[in-house]
Amino acid sequence: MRHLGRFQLGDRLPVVVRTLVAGVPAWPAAPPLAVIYPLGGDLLDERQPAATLFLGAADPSAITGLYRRAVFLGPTFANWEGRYVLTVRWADADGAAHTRAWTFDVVPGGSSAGDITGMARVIRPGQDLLLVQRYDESLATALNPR
Amino acid sequence: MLQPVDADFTLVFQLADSSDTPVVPDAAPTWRIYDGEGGLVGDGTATPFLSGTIDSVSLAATAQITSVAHQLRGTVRVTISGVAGPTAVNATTTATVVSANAFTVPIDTSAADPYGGGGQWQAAGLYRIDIGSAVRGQLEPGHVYTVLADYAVSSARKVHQLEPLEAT
Repeated sequence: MRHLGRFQLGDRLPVVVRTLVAGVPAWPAAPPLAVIYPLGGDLLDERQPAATLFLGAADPSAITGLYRRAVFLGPTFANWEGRYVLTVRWADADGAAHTRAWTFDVVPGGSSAGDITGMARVIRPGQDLLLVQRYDESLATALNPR
Repeated sequence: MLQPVDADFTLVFQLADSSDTPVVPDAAPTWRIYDGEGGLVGDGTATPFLSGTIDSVSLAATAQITSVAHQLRGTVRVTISGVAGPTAVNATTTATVVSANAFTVPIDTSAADPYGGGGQWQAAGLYRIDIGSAVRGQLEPGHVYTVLADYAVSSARKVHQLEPLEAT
């Protein structure tokens, strides 16, 4: 399982999967379903997905079984800044279930509205902060995740 | 993978074959964390990432399993165990979600005994490692650690290596 990296609220998480049967690309019975779970220790019900969405076929006339989607990290991700588990599930033509899984982190400093227009690091005695500017020109600070 | 170690944290890993079919080990995998010099920092047993209890099983050509608020989505490979009565559902199979409280499995229970209670399900191949203070306290920021999961399939021993863990 790969770790996809660190993202902020308002970013788009690139999800790409190739559906395989016996190691060979094949079209699934239905588009793959991406389900994203917060991995929040005792803070959350981790079985409650933060997002559930289908992936779309990329260049279906030329490439078999390639699906992708850019998942917007919006309001449903605002309840938990931490690690998430992304699963992509599909069933092949014989009904067998397949799953791929990744992890990624949502770190402080973003905006679930996707309206950050500028960001700067501010270091003060005992504090390491991000100063962000939103589209409406308001300012906010967040702890620098480093 | 950068990992803050100032609070307890959880790692998740997947066991799957080259076609992304989730692998079901003979028993729950065990894990070990090594520092850069090969010293063992901690070990333990992984637990299922997604699991739930079963409330009833229908008797039908395609069994329907009730598990209140199961939170599954789509089509999922699951391992079911501990069901009394229609014991044929105690298997690794494909679950298809039909509602928020039920999913079906392609197993014929129409001639089976009525549901007699019990049962759990877990999503096949997905496991979690919960790192508590005892192990976390030995992880030094700036150091990189190797995390391994041992498991066996049909008694054949295998090792899964997680992403290197860089403590911050």
